[in-house]
Amino acid sequence: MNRIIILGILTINIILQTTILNITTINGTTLNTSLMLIIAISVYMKPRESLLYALYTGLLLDTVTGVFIGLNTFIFLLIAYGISIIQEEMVKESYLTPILLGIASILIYNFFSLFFVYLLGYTVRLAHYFSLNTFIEIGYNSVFMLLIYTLFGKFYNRRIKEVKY
Amino acid sequence: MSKPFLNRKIAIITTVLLILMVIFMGITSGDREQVSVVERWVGNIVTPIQRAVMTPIHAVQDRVYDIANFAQLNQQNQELQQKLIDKEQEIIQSRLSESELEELRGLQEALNYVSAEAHGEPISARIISKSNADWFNVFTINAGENHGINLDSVVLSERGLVGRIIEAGDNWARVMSISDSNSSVSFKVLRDANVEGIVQGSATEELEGYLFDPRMEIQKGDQLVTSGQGIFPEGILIGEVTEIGKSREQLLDAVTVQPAVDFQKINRVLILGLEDMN
Repeated sequence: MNRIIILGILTINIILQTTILNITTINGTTLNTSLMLIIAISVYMKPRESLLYALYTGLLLDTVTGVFIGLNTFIFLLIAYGISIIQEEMVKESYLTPILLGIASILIYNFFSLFFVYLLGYTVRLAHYFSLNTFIEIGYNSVFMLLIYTLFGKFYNRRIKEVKY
Repeated sequence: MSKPFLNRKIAIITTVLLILMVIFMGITSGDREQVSVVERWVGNIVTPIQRAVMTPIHAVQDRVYDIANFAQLNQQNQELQQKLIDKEQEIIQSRLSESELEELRGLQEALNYVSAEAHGEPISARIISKSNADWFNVFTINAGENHGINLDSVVLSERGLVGRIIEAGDNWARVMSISDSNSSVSFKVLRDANVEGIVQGSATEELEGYLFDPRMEIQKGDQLVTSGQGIFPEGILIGEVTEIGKSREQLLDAVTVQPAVDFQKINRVLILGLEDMN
């Protein structure tokens, strides 16, 4: 698949995630569409490609929005690598796959974010992260995860067919 | 290439990258005097695109806001007229002390004294992107060093204090709001300037803080303004006290404050650029 197209999709996604999608919050929780795309890419594509896109997306997102650089990149790389290990055992067509991966990834994302934010000396209020907001975040992101995963799957399979014929 | 060898190679590359990211986090965390060349470069490319995306959104938001608030405008107009009459009375009173102030200004000039709170012309800017992480309340504005914005410049809205600049590029800057967990502002109570304390951002929209002197009295509904200690100039509205209790140590009076600024709805800000003191 053409790398430029995917890099373009990831770049446009970051622009949208940091602008328009920030308006559509539910109780202060926002959509992490970059994380969703990295999950979809990691499920469908080869591990080396997934890591490359995770590195690019993480670094760009960190540079554009982060207070410090490396946090999103670290988590995206970890998730991309984790999915690539279990990639072959997954039922890619099942609707449960993106939902379960989405839930697990959000929990991993929040855990490592809190861990590093705390480790670097920033203030962390643990109570907030075990509140209703975490459930809202999981539910809100899971719905969109299903949508993005399905769209990316269709897009990927169509590109594969085009390459074959 | 055999699969186990390829898998091991990928595992090694991932581990190296993860270690590099931890090092990056260590280097780039904390207060930095300047953003790196790469960050500045990326910011200069991405910010105009974000601005272009947000311009129609802001236009629509402004129109919707105007329509939604049309019914309230008439009532507000009457209230403002009444306030105008009251203010005219106040102006008459304050003119009496104005001549005294003029004398003090003349004295300040004669002694070549420069006020520590001297600020340049305020700069107006739009918010063009927000960090979507829960643990930081940071947003990007469409003005930067080229407009006179520096690190620690003070950011306001028409309602009150917003925060401070933590990073500045050529035509963009990043603002850490006072509702961020890592922000703290010293305050005094508008009703009684002797009551002083400090408020910090929390994970929620509200601010939490305590009084310096537990013997002092604070009430629900008290308005808090900046005390002038630290980087924020004196007298900027922070918010209103919504709850009073004891802090965890049961020694200090803890206060919960609703910020005057609604950080979810804010679109436009004012930045006070620090004036060149030389």
